[in-house]
Amino acid sequence: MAGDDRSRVSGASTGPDSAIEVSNLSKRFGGVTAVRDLSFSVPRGQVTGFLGPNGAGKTTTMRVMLGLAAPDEGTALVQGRPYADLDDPIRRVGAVLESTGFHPGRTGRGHLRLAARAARISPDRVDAVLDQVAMHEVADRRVRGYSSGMRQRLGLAAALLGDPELLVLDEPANGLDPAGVAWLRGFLRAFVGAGRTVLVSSHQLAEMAQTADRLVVIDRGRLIRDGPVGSITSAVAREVLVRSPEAARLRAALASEAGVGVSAGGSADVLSVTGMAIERVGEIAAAEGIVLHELTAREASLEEAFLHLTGEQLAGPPVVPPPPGAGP
Amino acid sequence: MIGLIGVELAKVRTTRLWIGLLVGVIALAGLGAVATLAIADSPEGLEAGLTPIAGVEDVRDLVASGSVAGVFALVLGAVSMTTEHRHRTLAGTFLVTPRRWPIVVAKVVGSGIIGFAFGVVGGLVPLVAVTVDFALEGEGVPFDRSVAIAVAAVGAGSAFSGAIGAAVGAALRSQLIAVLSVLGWALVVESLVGAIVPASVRWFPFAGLTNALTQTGGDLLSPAGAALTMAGYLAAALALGVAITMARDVG
Repeated sequence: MAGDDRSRVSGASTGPDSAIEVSNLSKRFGGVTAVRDLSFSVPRGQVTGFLGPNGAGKTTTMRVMLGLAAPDEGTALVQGRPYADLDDPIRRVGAVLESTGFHPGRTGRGHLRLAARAARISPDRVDAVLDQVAMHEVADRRVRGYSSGMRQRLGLAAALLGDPELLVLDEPANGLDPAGVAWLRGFLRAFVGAGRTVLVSSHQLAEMAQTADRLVVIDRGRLIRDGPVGSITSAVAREVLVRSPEAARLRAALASEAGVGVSAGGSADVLSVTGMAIERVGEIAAAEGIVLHELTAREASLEEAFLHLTGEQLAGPPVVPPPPGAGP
Repeated sequence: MIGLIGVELAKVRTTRLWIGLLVGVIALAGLGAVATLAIADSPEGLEAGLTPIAGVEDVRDLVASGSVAGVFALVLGAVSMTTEHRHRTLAGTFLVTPRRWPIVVAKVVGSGIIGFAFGVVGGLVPLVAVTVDFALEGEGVPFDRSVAIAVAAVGAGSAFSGAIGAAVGAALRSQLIAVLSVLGWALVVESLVGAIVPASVRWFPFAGLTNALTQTGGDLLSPAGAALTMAGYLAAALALGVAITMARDVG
């Protein structure tokens, strides 16, 4: 059977608090390994953000999870079983993949009615989910006239048809305007507030920082970090900013400590210190009798943490081409 | 399964392709019938050895010309799965029915049902044309039970075309390749190979088997033999379509 082939069971058990359990998952396409020995779990009742650079393997992992692609090794269990073995899967798991499309000649309502009929769900749910995603006004228009944001909402409406306990969403904020993103954030928080679970992939890190309870960060198909949002950002060295009229003397005193990095902090009287707790910086300054005008601890943003963990660089300022006819 | 077949029929009904194809069936079957009626009654037709439509057997043969509907059913079947690849709706379909094989079976059965309807329309159009032609002469068209059976036989042949088109389409990802493959086989390969090896025609799905349902004599199989052979071809195509659909990753 497909389920047996698509998500092999190898005796791995799903913990009672896990909605999804990925164990030693690998997936190759020809000579390219998209996912490599990946293991993580998605706890119930939380929003888990699934982060990674483009091509990291997020969508492939989700496809394997949902039985749309067969793993080469390992397992991906949803609610403790391979997706294809779930009874009435659409009532257990709602999913929107980035690659999911709609027939352009059908209306949004027509699409939902077909999906409801296929899943033996009452047609009344169609109106209910159209209300949930605020799409009633455009529901009878053909999908070919929808904006990308409307398509995202329609996909979410389809995922909600079965009133599932778990949502698996692949880049759901793509194409949404700022109001739509804010609406989505509120929606997901309310969803987990009702005791349900969300796994959401995104590259909008600031948004993820506000939405997710915990993060799974992958890069090149491998797990980089897995844990609460705070533990991800704190994994990156915190910075202490210190301002003093005796910056040069303070710098020498701090630099004498092992494992400490001290650099100029933007102006002559400001230092940036890494590898040292803020309390220790204050103690050293006091011991040396150095006057401080400012002592501030700054935690890395999720974006900084993400770039640090994945080894990527913040892009420099964009290069603006000179206007036509401008001389060298 | 009945529910899934209903969904597949609704998928077809909620798009416009079937309307265009049905118009094609009516236009081609109608043009063929009108041309046959016009030529058969003309001196040129008589010189060419054609005989005017006079008896039930002639009406039956004219009805059989409606089997052109099978070509349109073939196309509709071939696109039933590939259109899901094209519009990237297959993932959503498989999320609802992750075991996949019921979807392929539902598409094959659904395409067969629509193919049957196309075939019945294709058989009725020449019947209407000849009825009108006789009425204009103030006569009643020759008709008996065998004419009704001929209409049903055209429907059955067209149902087979729709079903096998869907099974072949399930094995292919590209809509264009699926349509070109089934049309190329039905319209080109069978004609070419049939011209080279005439004895092979009786085993061909379209030139041989579907024609055997509406015609008798010649080298064609009996209707029962043709039906059995068609069932065998369909089972093989369905098995291939299911196997490939089950094994394929969906993007």
